[in-house]
Amino acid sequence: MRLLNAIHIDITFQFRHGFYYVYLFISVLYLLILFNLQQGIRETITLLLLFIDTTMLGFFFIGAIVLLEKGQNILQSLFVTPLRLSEYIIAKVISLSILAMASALIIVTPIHLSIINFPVLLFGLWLSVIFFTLFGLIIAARSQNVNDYFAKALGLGLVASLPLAQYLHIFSTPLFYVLPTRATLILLEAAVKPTGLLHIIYAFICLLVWNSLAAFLAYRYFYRHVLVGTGAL
Amino acid sequence: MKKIMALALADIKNITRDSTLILVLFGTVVLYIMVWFLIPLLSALLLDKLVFNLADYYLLIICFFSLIPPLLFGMITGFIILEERDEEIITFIAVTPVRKTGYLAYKLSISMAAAITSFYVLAYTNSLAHIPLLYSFFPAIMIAMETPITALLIASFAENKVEGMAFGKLAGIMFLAPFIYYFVPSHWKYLAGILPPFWVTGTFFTAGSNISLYWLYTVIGLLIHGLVLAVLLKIFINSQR
Repeated sequence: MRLLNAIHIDITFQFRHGFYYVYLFISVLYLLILFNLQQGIRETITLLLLFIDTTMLGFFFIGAIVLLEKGQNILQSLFVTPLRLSEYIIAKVISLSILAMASALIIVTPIHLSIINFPVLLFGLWLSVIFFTLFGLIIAARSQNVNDYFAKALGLGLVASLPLAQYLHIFSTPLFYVLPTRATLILLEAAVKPTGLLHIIYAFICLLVWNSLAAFLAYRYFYRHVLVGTGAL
Repeated sequence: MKKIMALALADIKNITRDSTLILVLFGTVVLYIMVWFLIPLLSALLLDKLVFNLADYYLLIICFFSLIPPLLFGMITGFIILEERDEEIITFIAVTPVRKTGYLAYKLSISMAAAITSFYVLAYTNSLAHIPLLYSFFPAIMIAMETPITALLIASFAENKVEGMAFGKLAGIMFLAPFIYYFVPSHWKYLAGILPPFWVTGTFFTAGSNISLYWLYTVIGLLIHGLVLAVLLKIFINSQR
């Protein structure tokens, strides 16, 4: 119940700050563009948009959200209530992933005929959105302001995006398989073209492992660098 | 001059304290690395494997890349202004002889200078494509003006950083303008003319080839940029406490 309330409040907050309008607008814009692309290139671009926009949605916004709450001393009041840190983090992740998935559902409509494995697409995306939101929380916990967050997020985000090179057939190395984003791209591709079961299983395990690690680190960093500072302990 | 120096000194202190400067440098360097090395590499690979000639799109790529620094610097400046407003720093500066207009003029001109510099370096150190130097002045001015446009879009409308992010995301739509100009064949594309970068793209593709059209795009472009900037400035000045 507490968790549901927290999610509800987060969604209301995001709605009030225009996230839903902005994403509705952007998703529809993407839709118009994708419908005007040729059949052959449409899938590639759609999956690319899902990767760089949808999965990174939480990564983009979470920094500013946490820094705002920190700056307005909201966290101090929040954590004297029975709300637990884990619930706070889960609410952030769930609320942002709802927005991301809604936007994803709009963006995939132009290629819905070519999708052969919808559950893989959905779960792959969802796990990736969760990963990037947690990743953002880790960075945000140690950032001074939005530009500071940007700088760190840009650097780490670029490293995370390296497997795009393999997706675009520029360069590939087995090392990419260590990164969660390689798994994301495998699952996105598996949605539109036949992929070996082993690859799909690897991708899900890879994302789950990274998500657990990110969740653990997000909790720890938040506890150490944010909570201790608020005096709410 | 002394007043400006004081502001600059405060900024330098701030920049070394956090990673803003790293962000500016890093973002620009990544861009340079892409046009210097990655695009030629990608181009060779595409030609080899898919018989797709990326060289046809070099001018479009350079145009698109030229628009990234003003948006990046604009967002950074926008967030610095939001941050300083939250910390009431603007209120303090407003009562000094610098006044709020001085503060704004300073912030925006620094980021515009950075955008012009990065444009010229990007446009004339790459081996892919460039517009004749003679015709580069007005596109450069327009590109520079996009920095304060982005910054003010964030600083004027956003109540706080979170809304700033949402407006920043929205400002990203301006990136679509070059592609609309290039790929939409019908006259409907001129609807995208409300996006300032549309006209920058126009000058890129007419410089040196269709001079009368180049001047038409330049005049309209400068008017649109000036108009958008003037409106945003007015909103920002009036909306502040």
